[in-house]
Amino acid sequence: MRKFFKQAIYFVLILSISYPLTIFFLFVNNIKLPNVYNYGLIRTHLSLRLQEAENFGVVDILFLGSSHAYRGFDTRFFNEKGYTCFNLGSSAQTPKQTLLLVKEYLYKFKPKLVVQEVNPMYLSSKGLESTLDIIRNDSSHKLKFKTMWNSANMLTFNSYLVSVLSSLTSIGRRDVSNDEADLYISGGFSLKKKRFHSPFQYQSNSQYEIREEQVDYLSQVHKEIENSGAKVVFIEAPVTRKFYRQYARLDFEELFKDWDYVNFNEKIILNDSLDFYDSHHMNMNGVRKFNDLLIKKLKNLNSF
Amino acid sequence: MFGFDLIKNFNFPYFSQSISEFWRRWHISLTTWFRDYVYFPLGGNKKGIYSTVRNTLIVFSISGFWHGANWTFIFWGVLNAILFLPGIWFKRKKSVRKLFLVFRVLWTFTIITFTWIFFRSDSMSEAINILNYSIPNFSNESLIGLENKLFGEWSFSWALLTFLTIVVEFFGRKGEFALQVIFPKSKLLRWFSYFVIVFILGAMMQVKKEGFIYFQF
Repeated sequence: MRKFFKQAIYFVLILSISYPLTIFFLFVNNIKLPNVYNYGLIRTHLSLRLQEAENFGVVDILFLGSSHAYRGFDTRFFNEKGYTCFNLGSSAQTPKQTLLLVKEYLYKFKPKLVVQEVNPMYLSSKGLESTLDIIRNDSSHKLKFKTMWNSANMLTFNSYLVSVLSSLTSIGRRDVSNDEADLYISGGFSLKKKRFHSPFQYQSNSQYEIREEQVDYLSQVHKEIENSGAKVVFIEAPVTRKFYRQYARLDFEELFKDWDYVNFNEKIILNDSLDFYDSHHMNMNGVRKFNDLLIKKLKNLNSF
Repeated sequence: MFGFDLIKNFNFPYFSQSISEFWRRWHISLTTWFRDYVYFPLGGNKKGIYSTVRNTLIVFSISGFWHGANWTFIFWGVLNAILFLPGIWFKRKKSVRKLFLVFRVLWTFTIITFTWIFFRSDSMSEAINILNYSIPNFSNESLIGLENKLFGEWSFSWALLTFLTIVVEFFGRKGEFALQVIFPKSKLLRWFSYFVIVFILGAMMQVKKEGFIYFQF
């Protein structure tokens, strides 16, 4: 027995050093491994957003959600109306990752209102894309570790190892391209310069399969925000009509029957071509119209 | 491994030269239990040909049923019994040419793999569908598909790795563990091999949700 434990400890020690180093060495030398995220070293606007979030200070409104949030809620419009705000959206963010972000940042921002963007697409997702997005972009290591731990599988674990070693050594890291075409605006908004969308025909009659675990995380997010004393409003941001009609929504709205929820696809008429730059992201024309109406709606809901 | 002596449950079964040898090497603890507590009490092969055939069919049918209440398992059990029976009477020669040995191993592997189709299918119709789709179609399209499968991003590496693993296992099959036979004196090489195995599992084996079938029991 003693021999077994001795050998086991030696093996685990050697493995815990050699395994991450081997994966990292192969990855930075462009040898792609099936269980490592291919874009694990390329940072996006989220890295800037998380860095800025650390010292941003107290805000009136905190925005959360997917790319529909960080490309749909333009903090500058809210600033013009006298509200301080921060947009903490991340790619394909599902309630599973929202909960982590809320636990990490709510006490820092101390918002009066949290606007969480929701849509059936991401409530039907396991959240792997968003997990990998946070792992590659966070430089504090704490959130990175929690995100990895929260979604225990070898792909996220290996991607976490690569990301940590890259942060520590600065080898292979590729910083975000922040230029005219895709510009990060202080406060968390991402401004895409591409202007219009050419709609194409989608297949209809598909339907979302909402995951129970995501609904459960959504309830936890709501509870966590309410416990902090802030109000929470769930918002479904506009997408093109063709994209919206592609899926049967079934009883998605039912999930929010006890909460403040506004589906802007039913409240605003936007042009699929002139107000969007792709099938489900608004361009600045759409964002302006949407944000004007959003501010009015939030006031009607007595959110602020 | 690590100084522990565990019961050997699988003794290089895929290098068996016959179905009866396969069943002496596969899931040994379960197979010996069926032999000792079902086959022998029924009379084994001591009471003549009809009794032997009956007992073998019973044991394999129960073994199939033990894996699940589905016709696929029963059929799998009966099929194995039919394939197993000739081995009881026709003993193989002890010395065979190496080329012939490889052929026998490959033949046994093919037959066993064929029976697994019924074991892993959810229904008999699914098994029949799999068999239908297994018949090669040598049209241009399927050849392009075959080329992609063989030389796709990872397929060739996997094929090479599988071949190397088979070679290591084949040459080490006479010992307790293959790596101990291949590297009897070098602990460093053995441990390096263990590391490679862990690395392949961790970095290359994409996680699937399906559990190992024996976990269901």
